[in-house]
Amino acid sequence: METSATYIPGESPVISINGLSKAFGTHVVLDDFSLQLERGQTKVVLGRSGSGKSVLIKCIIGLLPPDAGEIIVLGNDIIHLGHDELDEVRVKIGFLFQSNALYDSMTIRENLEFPMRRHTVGISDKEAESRIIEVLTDVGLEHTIDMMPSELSGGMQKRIALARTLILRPEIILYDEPTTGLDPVTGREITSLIKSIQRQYNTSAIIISHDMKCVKAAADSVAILINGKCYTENTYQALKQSDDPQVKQFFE
Amino acid sequence: MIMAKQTLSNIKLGVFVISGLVLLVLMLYIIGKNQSFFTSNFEIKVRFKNVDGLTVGNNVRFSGIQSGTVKKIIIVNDTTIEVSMLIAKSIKDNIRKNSIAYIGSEGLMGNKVVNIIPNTIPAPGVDEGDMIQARSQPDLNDALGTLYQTNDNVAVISRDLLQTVHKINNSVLLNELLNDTLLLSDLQLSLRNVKVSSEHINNSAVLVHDAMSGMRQGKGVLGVLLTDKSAERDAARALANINAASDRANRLVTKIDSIAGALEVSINNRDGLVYALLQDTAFAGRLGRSLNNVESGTAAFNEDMEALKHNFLLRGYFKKKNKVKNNKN
Amino acid sequence: MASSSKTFFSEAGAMTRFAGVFFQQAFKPRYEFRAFIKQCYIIGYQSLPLVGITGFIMGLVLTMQLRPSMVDYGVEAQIPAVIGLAIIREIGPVITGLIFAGKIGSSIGAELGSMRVTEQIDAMEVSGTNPYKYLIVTRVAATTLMLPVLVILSDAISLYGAYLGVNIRAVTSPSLFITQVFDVLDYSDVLPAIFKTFFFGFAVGMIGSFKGYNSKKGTEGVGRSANSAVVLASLAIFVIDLIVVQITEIMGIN
Repeated sequence: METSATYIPGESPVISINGLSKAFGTHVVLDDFSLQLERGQTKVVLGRSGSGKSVLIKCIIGLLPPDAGEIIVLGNDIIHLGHDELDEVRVKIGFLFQSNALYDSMTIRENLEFPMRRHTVGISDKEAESRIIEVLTDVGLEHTIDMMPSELSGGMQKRIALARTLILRPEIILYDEPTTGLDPVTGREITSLIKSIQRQYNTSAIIISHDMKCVKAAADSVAILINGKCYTENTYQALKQSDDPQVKQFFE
Repeated sequence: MIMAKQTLSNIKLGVFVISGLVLLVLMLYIIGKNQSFFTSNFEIKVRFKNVDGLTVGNNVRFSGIQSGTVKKIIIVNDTTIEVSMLIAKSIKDNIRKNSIAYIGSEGLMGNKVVNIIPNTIPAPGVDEGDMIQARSQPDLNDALGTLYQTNDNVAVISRDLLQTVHKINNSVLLNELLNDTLLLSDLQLSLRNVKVSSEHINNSAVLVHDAMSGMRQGKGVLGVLLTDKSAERDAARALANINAASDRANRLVTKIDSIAGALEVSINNRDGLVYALLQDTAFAGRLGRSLNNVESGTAAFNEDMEALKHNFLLRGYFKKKNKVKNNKN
Repeated sequence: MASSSKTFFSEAGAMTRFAGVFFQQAFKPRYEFRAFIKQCYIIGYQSLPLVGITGFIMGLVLTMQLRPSMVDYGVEAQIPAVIGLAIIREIGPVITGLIFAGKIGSSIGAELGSMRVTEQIDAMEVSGTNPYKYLIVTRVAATTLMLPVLVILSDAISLYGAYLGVNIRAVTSPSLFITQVFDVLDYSDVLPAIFKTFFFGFAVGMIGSFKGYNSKKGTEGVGRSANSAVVLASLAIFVIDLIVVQITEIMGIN
């Protein structure tokens, strides 16, 4: 693969998006969008509701096919991968869904087992069990292992979802509005949990959010998505001092 | 614990699926057994002029026992239809080469069946593919038509007979007539004939009576009449007898009538023979008995006809006849 | 008018395509055998009480309703035969199919709908699982194979109900009842009746899956999926019933 040859682990960006376009019917969501994510970096993509932030990360993980552009993740051209190769890349990407997406017909244990069992990554039963305990300890919910998702509060569900994202030890985690729908206190907890996990597992991350507290706490760099384009990209502090009204509206 | 739960649910699912399959197999097996698919069969054939709505798959009964099904019906030519039947091997020994097949029906509104009945004459057992003989069935409507006609005939005859006897009884000329020896012997012969034929009528009436009471027995006349072909046959035969007898009686009455006419013509011809005849008590007794026979015969017949009229099946038929009669009047 | 017929045809086309994917995916590895067994348990075994109760009542009520007319015609003895034919040929498959559509069609529609809305289907895909295979193929295969089993069991329970119904006003021995029922039954009564239930099951599973899988966002979308799945699946059962009876008629095995 052409792109694989130029990919140097540790030096090239883990995610490189160039000229990405996506429209639903006549409604243009992404229009010539470009973004780079460096190793170990946590980048927040800021944008208004319905501006296509979720579409962006769903394109990255191959859930939605873009209309044009290229997405290179860890040296793989996501758009043109076959099903099996795509799955291989997906093992290295964690995805935290906005609605948690815990399987409500399964216990917490089965929820956490699911990615390990499904991906053919060769994890033994014993290791799987120890990993489940490990990630549950990381999110502080060891006691819920045999409970059903419906028995947990929203914040706890978010933690379990995060634990499930971590269980395959991904190199990249994509967070889809991790604090939306949570009360401010729980939102702060989740934010600090994300931060500590980023440090502990040394992952790169893209966080989709419009929660400025979360953005401020977690972001190394902030990209602002306006009209389907990457309007500007800078650190939180730099953007906060910007005079551009388009940027300023997010910080008010 | 989870594994144990899984195993338990697997067992439940297994029981569920297996019981469904077992039921299906059982159901198909019972049907197959009924259709004698799973028992060994042999085939025999019979040719009818008319199969009366018989179709493939209809039952075949041997002396009333379910013993097979109709396999194939083919038209051999414009007057011959060949019916092939699959018969269970288990009753093969009981069916003879000269057995008789006829088409009947299963109950009142049931399907057609092929009935096989044994013949009274001994014969070797049937073999695979043998042809047995067929018999057509008398039609119920025809039988009823004949019965009614016969009834009319008998009524006319007995009326005529009565008139004739009255004439004979009341005629003053009889004395004179009886003086004629030649005529006397003729008359004697005629009366003997009357006696014989009245006995015929009597017998016929008894036969009809028997047939009717036979019909009245059982679950209702209609069922017996439609299913019991032998009762129907008896009735038909009886009716044929009555017909024949009444024909004979009719001829006889005509004869007697002409004699009576002759008597009237010879009204003035007085002879001593009347006296002689009246003296012969034995002859008078015979004459009386003959007349009694005629009377009782017709009475029994009337009784039967009355019974027939009240029978619910035939009630409509007679009502209609009455209506027609009333309309004419 | 034009737009509603357009949506109708596009829906029909989308469903046909969706069903086509089933045949594409069902016979290709990997086989989701454990998920299939689990669905069989849920769809088959757990539907048995409901199907059994309705079947029992159907047999009993049908017998009691039919009795007066049969007595009037003087063919009381024919009740087992008539009921048996009615249950095996039509009532059993169709009533069971409708109950099944109500229970399973709606539950598949609602379950997949809520999985779609809460992104569980996306999560599966991300977790290296083909959701069509894992969710749809297993469910449709389970409905296709379990409904015939349910119908056979329901037939048997219905006949038991009919037997009790006959015994309310008369006395019949079980063996006489069975003899009378099976005397009139033929392979051409049983086999098309069982055969069509595979199609009933496939239709119920496929319509429920289609409606759920393509559920619109929001809880309202889930409810609508479940509702339209039941309505459409029930309608499909009658249409299939009609088609099957016409085919058997043409083939001369009716």
